[in-house]
Amino acid sequence: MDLSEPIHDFLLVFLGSGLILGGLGVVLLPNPIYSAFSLGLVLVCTSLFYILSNAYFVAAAQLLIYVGAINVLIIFAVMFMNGSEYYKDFHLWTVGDGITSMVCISLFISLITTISDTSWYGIIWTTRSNQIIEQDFLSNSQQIGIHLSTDFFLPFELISIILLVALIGAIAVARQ
Amino acid sequence: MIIDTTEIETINSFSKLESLKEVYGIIWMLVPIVTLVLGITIGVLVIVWLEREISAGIQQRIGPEYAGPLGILQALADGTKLLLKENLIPSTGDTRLFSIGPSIAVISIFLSYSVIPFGDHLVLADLSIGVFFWIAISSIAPVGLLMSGYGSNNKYSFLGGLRAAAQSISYEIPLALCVLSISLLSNSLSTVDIVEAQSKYGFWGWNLWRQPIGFIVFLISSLAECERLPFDLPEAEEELVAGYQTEYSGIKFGLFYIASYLNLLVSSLFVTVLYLGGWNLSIPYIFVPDIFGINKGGKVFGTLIGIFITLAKTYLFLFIPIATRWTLPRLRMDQLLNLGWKFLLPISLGNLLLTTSSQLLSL
Repeated sequence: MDLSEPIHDFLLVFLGSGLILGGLGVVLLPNPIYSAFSLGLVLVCTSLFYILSNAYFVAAAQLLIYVGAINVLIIFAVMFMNGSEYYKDFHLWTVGDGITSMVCISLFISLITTISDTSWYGIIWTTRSNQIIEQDFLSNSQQIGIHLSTDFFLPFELISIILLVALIGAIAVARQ
Repeated sequence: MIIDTTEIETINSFSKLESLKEVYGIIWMLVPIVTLVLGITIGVLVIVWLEREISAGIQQRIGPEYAGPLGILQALADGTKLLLKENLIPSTGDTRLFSIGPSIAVISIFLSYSVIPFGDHLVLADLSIGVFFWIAISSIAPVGLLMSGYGSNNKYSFLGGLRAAAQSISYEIPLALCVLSISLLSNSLSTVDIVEAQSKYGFWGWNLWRQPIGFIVFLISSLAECERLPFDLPEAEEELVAGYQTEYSGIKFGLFYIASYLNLLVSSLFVTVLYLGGWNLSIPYIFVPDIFGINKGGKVFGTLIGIFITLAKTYLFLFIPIATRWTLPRLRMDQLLNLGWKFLLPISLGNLLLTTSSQLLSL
């Protein structure tokens, strides 16, 4: 979206804080229902980030797949658990928590260090879309389609086969 | 020194002017949005009135007659009554989820109006992904319904919320496949391009004739998305009291009520855009811009005519869903899911296959 810089920055900070608060909510809230809903908030904020950086198709796909399908299914599953059982024996700190936080922090640090080495690190958020994309005559979604059916054809097909296998497995489990 | 201060002053005044301009820009961005929201609200009131009148006609009653001429103000009176009613919150429920739920449902539907072209290029946001945006946004609404169903702490509400989510997820797939075949025909996802692709041969250029199967599947699955009879299982009175709306009263119930009619309006507007030629007059050999010339007054008049044609097509189409509601009985849950997964999904896939192969052979 070609917005003026202050509005852009304001939206960026607003969405970023929503993202961080939502992420903390997913981890820290004791009730799993609230965690599931704040996961939805995180996914919506990510999609709005994509809109802010002119990637409309990715934003819509993110909304459709992650919020509309996966998050709804997670909420579905969480709602069938009896919520009160889960946070009665709630210890503040266990060994598992320590290991998990160690792994997460090391992942975070390694991601931060690799991001500064990538080729797209120098791109500023407010760079206009036509300065990045050389081929103006093709829209974003067309470019995605072309890449999916040429460069990334094999991964695309493999992913669809994996999804098919998962589908057949789910049906086989459900029929028993 | 004096020159410096004057320079600084001029720079300051210039930056002030710039910031003022920015503020004006933001306000100017808000004007079309507010206009659209007001227009949509009036459109919803019209649908409520139409529904009352048509159902009265079908059941041989008189219908609303006292509030305003022909009972036009009846919907407004209902809205005022809902605003003034007491807002009850279930004591053992989850108050936060209970109050956030309806607003998510309404906001997600309101957002999808931003990609609808009402006149010649008269659209709030001409995104390149247009129709896909609608499909993506409308998939958020089940989250709100699940939230309100869970927050009510009521078995009927909970079941209603689960049913609503299951129904809208399973009927979204045939809907998306129909939209995909339309966008294949017009080589674009943008709503404006889809309408312009149908503008060539007037009445005979409509996508309705090129996609008859797609039109029927779209009609059925959009009825299911709107949770209207024969697919109103989430709020089936005999089984679930009122589904996820059971515990709601006052304006929160009103929000759900508005959301269902907004959904109906947006899906019939999309039927107009995707299948019925949008803002075009649709009579062959008569082009509206040619009649009124290219001067400014003619342009304004042409835009008004475009809006009028879009709304006329939409409301004429709305007779079908409303008449369906008052004539057909409700499906069972297993029948609903069978229809969605075993009938509509294969049919729409076959339709997509036909469309793709005809595009490949450039028929």
